[in-house]
Amino acid sequence: MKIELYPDMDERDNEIEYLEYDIDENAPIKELFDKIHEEKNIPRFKEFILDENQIEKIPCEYYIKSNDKSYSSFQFIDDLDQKISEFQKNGNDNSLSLMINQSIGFVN
Amino acid sequence: MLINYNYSEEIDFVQISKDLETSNSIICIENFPESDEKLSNFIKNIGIPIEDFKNNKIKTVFDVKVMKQKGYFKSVANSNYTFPLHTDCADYEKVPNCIGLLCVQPAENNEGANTFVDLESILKQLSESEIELLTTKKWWFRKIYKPILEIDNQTKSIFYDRITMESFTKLDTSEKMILNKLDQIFIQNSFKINLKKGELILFRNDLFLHGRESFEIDSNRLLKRIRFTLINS
Ligand SMILES: [Fe+2]
Repeated sequence: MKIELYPDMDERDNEIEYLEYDIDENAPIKELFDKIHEEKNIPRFKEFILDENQIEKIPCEYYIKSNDKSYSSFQFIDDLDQKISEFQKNGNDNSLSLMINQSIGFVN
Repeated sequence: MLINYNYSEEIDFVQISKDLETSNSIICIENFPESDEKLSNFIKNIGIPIEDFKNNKIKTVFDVKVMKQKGYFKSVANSNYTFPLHTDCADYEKVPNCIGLLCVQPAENNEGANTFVDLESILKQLSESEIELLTTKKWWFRKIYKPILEIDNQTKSIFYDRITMESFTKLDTSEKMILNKLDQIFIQNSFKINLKKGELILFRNDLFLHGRESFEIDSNRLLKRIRFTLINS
């Protein structure tokens, strides 16, 4: 299946990446994100330095684009166990438009 | 330092705006209703609330409470840890100059107190050369590069959020020493407020740093947060 991977909210100027995976669409969407993390070498956590003795790991967040070009159209994926087939393919050429947030809104 | 009001439909918004514009005080409005909509509409009388994609259904309000999933907190704000003194949105292009915090449920046993330090007290502790350094040396606040202090004839502002400054950028030893000294000054000059249920505090995000003390992880502590920019600024 085809994926449009949007750049992190922090890197809006970067290009959209086009990926293609052979994956059973009955699988939970987290399996698709696992593949993206592996292939694109995207860390699953961001580390926050609370003080010199405490580093807190906070997991990435996952978003799917609904139907327009603005960033506000990204919807937070709450249930990563939901089947891939249940998400709307709103990208070009029947692709799934996804984003992994690793930067914004993790502090306060 | 604290100006008190009681919530009512006829509350004096003009005076509240003036208090926020001109004084270094924190405003406390007692008996505020527990409603996102009322909070948002109330603030619209004195400022322009900032919407955020992570906020509640009412897009200007965020619930500050413990949120832990599969062993990880959703954000540092959603943990039960001490939150060191900081500016909100220091990494935004336009930093909102006010914050409102409505206490829906305080933490048990006086834990989770809100902490503050005001810019005037900080400046009194700094030498001229230190102020010079803090107004000229720029720091990365994630993608925004700017000094910690901004001082001109008309206005003074502080921007500080060490967690953001240190987690997205590698600081060298001398930079860490500057921040360590600042943190020490902040803590020494800070004061705390134990909010009661139904109290809404409003304060300047550019004139105060704020933080909180830690509390038990299973606490029901809930503050509703709204960020806004005063209409006349
Ligand atoms: Fe904050």
